[in-house]
Amino acid sequence: MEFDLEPVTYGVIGLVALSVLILMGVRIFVAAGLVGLVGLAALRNWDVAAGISGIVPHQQTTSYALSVLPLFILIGFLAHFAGIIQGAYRCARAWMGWMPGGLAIGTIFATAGFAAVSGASTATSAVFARVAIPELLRYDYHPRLAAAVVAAGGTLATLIPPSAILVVYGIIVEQSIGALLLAGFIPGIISALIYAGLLLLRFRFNPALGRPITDIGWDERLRTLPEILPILVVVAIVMGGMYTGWATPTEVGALGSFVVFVMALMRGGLTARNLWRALLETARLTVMIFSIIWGVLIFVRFLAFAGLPGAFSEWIVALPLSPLMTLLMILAGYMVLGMFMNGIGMLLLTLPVVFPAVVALGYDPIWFGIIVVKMVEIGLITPPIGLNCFVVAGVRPDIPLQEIFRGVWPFVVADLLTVGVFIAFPELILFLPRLMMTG
Amino acid sequence: AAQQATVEGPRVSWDYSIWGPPRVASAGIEALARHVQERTGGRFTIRIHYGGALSAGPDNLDNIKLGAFQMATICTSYHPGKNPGLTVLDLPFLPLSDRRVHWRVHMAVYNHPYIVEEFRRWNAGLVLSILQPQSELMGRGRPIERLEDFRGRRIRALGGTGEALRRLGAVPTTMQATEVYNALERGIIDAVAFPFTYSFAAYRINEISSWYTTNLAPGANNCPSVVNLNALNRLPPQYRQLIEEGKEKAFEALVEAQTAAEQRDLAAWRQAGLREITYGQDVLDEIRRVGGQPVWDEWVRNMERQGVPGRELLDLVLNKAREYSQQAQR
Amino acid sequence: MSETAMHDGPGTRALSLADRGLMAVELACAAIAAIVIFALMLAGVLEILGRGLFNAPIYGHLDMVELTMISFTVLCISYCWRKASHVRMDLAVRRLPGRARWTAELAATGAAFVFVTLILPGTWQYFLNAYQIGDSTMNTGMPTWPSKLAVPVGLGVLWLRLVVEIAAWLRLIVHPARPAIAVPMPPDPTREAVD
Ligand code: NA
Ligand code: NA
Repeated sequence: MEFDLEPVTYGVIGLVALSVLILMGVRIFVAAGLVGLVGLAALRNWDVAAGISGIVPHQQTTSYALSVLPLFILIGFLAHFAGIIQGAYRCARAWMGWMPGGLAIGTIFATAGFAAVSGASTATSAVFARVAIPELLRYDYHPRLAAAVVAAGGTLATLIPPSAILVVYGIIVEQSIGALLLAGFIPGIISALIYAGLLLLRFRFNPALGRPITDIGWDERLRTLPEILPILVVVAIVMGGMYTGWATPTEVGALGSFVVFVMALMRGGLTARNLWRALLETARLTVMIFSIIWGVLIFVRFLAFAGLPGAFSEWIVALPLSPLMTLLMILAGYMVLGMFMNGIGMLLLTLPVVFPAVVALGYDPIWFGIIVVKMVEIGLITPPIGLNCFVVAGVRPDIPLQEIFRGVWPFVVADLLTVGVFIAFPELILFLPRLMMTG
Repeated sequence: AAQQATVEGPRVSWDYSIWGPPRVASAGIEALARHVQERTGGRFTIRIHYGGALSAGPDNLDNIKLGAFQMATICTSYHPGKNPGLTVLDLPFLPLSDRRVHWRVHMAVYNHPYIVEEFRRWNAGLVLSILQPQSELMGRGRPIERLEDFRGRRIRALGGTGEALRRLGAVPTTMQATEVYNALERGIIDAVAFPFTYSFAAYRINEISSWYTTNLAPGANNCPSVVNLNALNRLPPQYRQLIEEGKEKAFEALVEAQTAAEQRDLAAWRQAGLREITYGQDVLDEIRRVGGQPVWDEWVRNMERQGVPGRELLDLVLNKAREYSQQAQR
Repeated sequence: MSETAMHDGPGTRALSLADRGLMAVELACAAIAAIVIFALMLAGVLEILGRGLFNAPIYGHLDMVELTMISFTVLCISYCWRKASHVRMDLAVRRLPGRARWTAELAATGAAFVFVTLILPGTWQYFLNAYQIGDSTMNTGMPTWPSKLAVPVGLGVLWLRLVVEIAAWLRLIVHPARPAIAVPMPPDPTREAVD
């Protein structure tokens, strides 16, 4: 009744089918969900496959931790009516626009700033796709580059605290979440700096990628400086909420959007009709993201029932290699998995098998957490399933998905370089948490 | 030792769904899986899938009904509506501190006809208890040493435990276990109720706490292992016999793992200078009068209204607990 | 579009009518999601205030959030579909000429139709379990079946939408020159930049 196939064969067939459907123009959530459901039927039967799949959309999306997503998307819509992010962009333009690629670099630092209040990469990309891409296009930045900057910049939210993924990692492997969040801070900043360095380099060689702004004087710089005040107020309120003691990420999202809501009301730009449209647009974008989450998770369920992730991890851990080579093999595995899976699913499936092996090899659990999360970040922007690129494409239907994937690969290279830096200098990650433990 | 003869039979391969990593709470089912595998020479295997890979914990029963996998761990308090009668074992202040009494009472309730019928609706049978330990409190700031100290204190506690703490004057708050560390560190909550001692250590609560209780027992999660009835009925009798034997193996493994974890954790906490609070009998009696009895009474009223024999089930727990405790003392 | 519809046959008019009728249902689902998102914002602020100022967190806040989230995670999925907002890689499809393109679009919609048709019984069974046997939230014991019912409802609306859309693609395959109706139209990018 069943095909006598190794789990890996199932996985390969599934991934090929998924790729074919996606190339045919089938929506991502449909392609992933359909292949997952049919795969489950091959492993069990149609009734059981429908049953397993039918649980996933409700179960995997209605978790409190994910309720932060619409609120961070809403912040972006409301911030537009409050004129906040536009103001910050005028400031970024005035201070950094003279540089080659200055506005793109400004965008990277702005996403890093927003990452400090956003726990979800997709939400950060959604906000900046809305706010930053129009500004970048206005200064003749190539659409492909503009979209890629936003998709890659969004991944910073995964590393710079607060980070939902780091909390999930800490729970799965039972490590101090405080230490993990602290550990993510410096690597997050380093990632942003490496992105900025990459952009500087690319614009040095190819200035045609975007127009530097040459006609800005010091008077304009000083005049625009107060424009970042509202965003600092929001960051202060949200950071204050997070770190001085009074809110969960969802509550921070609620408070943040409420404060911006009040600012928009005070500024007069927010009519009842605008608010209603902002809420409907938030709902549209949110259901798009959640559809991908549950669609992909049906596919992930299929892989789990096929036993693929376990087989994969066991195989890689059993390789007769040095610890460093084994680590690199594991990271290569995460790179491949990250192409197809979402971060949480990937961690849930692999860590129970991989983590004990990594610790046995002598690597620090906190350090490995940051490295794995960095691999999750890479997975967010690699095809065929790169959630951040999907989100940007969802906000900007005029920029095709394949263009975004084409624009994002230099950032993948930069991320791999960053991972190399962290492997060579683990102290960059471990410095802050050790300070906390001993201080 | 004499080598036991291998049990002959067909090739059977089961999947077991559980959330989280391998841990103390999974030691019992790991022992059961090892037992059936060794005794059949690998012909009967129970493959444990960790991390909720096959299903999220609260939906294990739906998947068992479906036959997606053959066995799973569930916690009745995650979905009281799915198993109202069995939430009797989630009530606060039950006298189950001795592990053998705890085990035997759980198994007695699992075999009660009403409970068997309750799980038959899910096409499920109850196999064994994973013996989740009683909850205790751990927190920072002013320790809770008397009844008055509960007033206004924010404590993370779920379900019936939260209800009991509310009656003691505390403010129970619900949040995911993943948020507890940060919430406690930032002062959103003053204390947390978790199974003693393993979960405190797993979530590193001890790193940021200054005190803990050892004998409050404001509730315990009842987390049984369940089996799909069709799969169980298809099993040859000699394999079913192996599962019966495996239950005792599971119990022994659980006790061993829990004892080791408790000794390790308590030693670490004492060394770190955490204050250990052990309530005197008079304080305990007062706490149970205020926070326990009313919750039990309300639970019984609620159950009887739904047509669940709540009084009978609660009496079963209390009588069996007394009976087994006396046997243990003799 | 309504003018051309006047000149079209009864089939086209029926298609247009079904499209507009479904759009009203989809907008209603999206409206529920929009209201829940706004309420989520207000409730989060109230929760912080209640806890911070009065030491009175809203007990069961977590349960309420998890039960109502379904409005913006599944219920309004068809609204998103009609707005052409579900992400896809449509490079190949867009390059096809006329009839070939409509056929490719029909295949993509057909895949979605197959998927939704296959998964609907599973989501319905999941709701039935909660409704017939019972299920409740952890803390406040609220029944979960209304939330679980939202899944087959949302996907059911999407199923109807896909039926209408398959008819719309078939119509275009038969009459490639006619203007497209009842198919997903992405929002105007120039307007998108402002919204
Ligand atoms: Na972040
Ligand atoms: Na990817």
